[in-house]
Amino acid sequence: MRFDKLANINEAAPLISMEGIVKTYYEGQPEELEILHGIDLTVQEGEFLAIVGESGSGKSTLMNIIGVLDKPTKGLYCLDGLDMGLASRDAMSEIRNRKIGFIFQNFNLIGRTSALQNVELPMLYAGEPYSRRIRKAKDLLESVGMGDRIRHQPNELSGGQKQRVAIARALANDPSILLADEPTGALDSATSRIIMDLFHKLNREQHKTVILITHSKELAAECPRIVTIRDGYNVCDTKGAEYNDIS
Amino acid sequence: MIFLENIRLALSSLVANKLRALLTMLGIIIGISAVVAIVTVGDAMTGSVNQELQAFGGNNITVGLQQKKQPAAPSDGKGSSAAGADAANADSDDPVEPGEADLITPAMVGEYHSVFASQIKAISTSENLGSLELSNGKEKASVLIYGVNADYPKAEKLELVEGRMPTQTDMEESRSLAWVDEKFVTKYWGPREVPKNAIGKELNIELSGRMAKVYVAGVYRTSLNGGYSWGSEDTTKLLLPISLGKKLAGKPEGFNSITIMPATEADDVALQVNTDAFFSSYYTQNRHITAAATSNESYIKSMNKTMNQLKLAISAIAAISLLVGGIGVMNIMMVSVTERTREIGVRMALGAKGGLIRFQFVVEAIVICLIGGFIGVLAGIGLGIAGSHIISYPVRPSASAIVVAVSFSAAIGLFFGWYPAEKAARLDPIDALRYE
Ligand SMILES: Nc1ncnc2c1ncn2[C@@H]1O[C@H](COP(=O)(O)OP(=O)(O)O)[C@@H](O)[C@H]1O
Ligand SMILES: [Mg+2]
Repeated sequence: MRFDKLANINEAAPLISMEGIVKTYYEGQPEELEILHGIDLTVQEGEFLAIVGESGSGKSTLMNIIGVLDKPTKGLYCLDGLDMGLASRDAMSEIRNRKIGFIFQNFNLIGRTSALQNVELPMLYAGEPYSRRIRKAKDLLESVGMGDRIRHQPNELSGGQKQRVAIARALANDPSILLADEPTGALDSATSRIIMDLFHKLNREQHKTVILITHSKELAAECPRIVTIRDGYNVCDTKGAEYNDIS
Repeated sequence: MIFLENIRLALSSLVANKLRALLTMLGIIIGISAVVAIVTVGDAMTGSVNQELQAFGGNNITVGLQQKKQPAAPSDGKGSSAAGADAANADSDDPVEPGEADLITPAMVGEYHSVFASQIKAISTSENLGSLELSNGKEKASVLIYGVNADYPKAEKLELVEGRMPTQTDMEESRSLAWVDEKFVTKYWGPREVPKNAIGKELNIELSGRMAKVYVAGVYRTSLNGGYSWGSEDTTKLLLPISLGKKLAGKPEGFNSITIMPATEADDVALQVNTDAFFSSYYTQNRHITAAATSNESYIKSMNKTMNQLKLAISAIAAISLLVGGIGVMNIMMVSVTERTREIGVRMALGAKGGLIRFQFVVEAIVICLIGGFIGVLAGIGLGIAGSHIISYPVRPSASAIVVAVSFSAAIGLFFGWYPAEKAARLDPIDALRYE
């Protein structure tokens, strides 16, 4: 909440603003590996954005930085007008908890833990009281069409169902950004469709900023804006067919 | 609520790996059950020994005559003059019986009483005058005849059943009275005779060939519960006023030994030392004999000390078992952290701070140890109760030992769970998420 207040000081600040982001692995060692060579990216609240690029081009590395899981080696990243380069480890956890909803290719649900408890987790970490957690988690599971599976554990769910639970979990603390790294990569085309429709709906109806990382050109084509990464540079930033009307 | 959630998580991961969890807990279970069982059995042993000694005369101090230790021969142990040394040793080792002149006199006792009056409850003097078989034509009963003073019943913890106890006047006037055990009453006058009817009855006794008539003045009961019995089960003590007894048996006035019962508030150990000094001072000029004060107290203390050392030794073994158990817990927690690296990464991505991850794993380690500790306590109680029944002194398991054992097992969890938990907390979320 602290971060929201700070952000409001600068109304005009974009949700995400990246300038000259460089990421180097094994920095200072002989096998030093620069993956991102200076990415510039600005994302406004409510955008639906696809980041495309070949496998190994550095999409996931970029997503980790956007999602405040990692810090850039060089460059400035401001989220909601706040310089993420200055955030401590605990502050980064708190920002992830409040502002970012992650959706992974391999779902990453917590095992031996029901769908309901999975969705509760971010709220538990945010210190929400039990009754509110339960109510919200049930509502969210309902909204992704998983209302009848709340007691199921991950090993009792299909891939598409797991991903819907993961989306419900990503929405738990009402984050402004949904970060999805190849969310349909492990799903067949029919289930992929359901997941994509869910993202469209969330963007349209709840004004969520959705950043979809994918190597699939077809999926990217659905998005209003497409950023293409090649070998660690963002080479083009094209507008999709047209912006969805936000009102 | 995070705490409860963590306990739930810990339990569910234990349930998922039941056998692994049990094997991990084994060291803790063995260690804790050993501690609880040892403390319980140790309490039972100490209790039963103390009970017997208390019954025997608790903290009474006995002053008795003994032979003085002769200074050792100077050429002892060299072997060069074997024959000569042997002769000398034989001479000095010859037991010297206390003669009539060596006995503790009533004057000494009187003096002692006036000096230590505030520290003593009773001074009991008694003299074994021999055994006797009494017969009334129908029944027979064997008795040990004791001459006793008025303090004797108090010092020997006799309970009055009927009649009255011996008094100072009985002593001074050498009254022809006797006190008998309640068992004697039924034995001698028939099983249906009640102690009340025994009062005033006449008994014919014979001491050193002299016959005498005495009248039963009281019936007593010994409060010595088992443990020590004199001679056979049916031999009881028949008590006479000591003055009368000595007169009848033709014994000198002095005593071979006296028993002192310290006052409740007295320092028993100090009193024993002072008593010893008091009586031995009368024997400084005596070549062979001295008087020495001994007490059960010191025996009880050394017994307890041995017990405590034994407890300590076995507890050390239990501690080693707990240490090994703790290392086992640490090992399994390291495995658990590694296995769940990815889960840790996901939790961090969802906003769990490092501290919370550490907390989760510490709680898990503590839960493992507490469950192990709990099973260990139950097993220890079982073993302890069985053990205390074997030495037939049932005790309740010590609550403090249980509390200490359980908190100790939690402490083991905290101590040995900390490092793995810290390792989990320090994981980099990216590396954790990429972990395969
Ligand atoms: N933690 C890491 N340590 C070392 N190299 C890494 C790490 N993460 C990613 N890389 C490297 O960075 C490159 C880009 O990876 P990634 O961002 O996952 O690509 P993409 O998601 O576009 O397929 C790859 O060559 C990969 O080997
Ligand atoms: Mg990737």
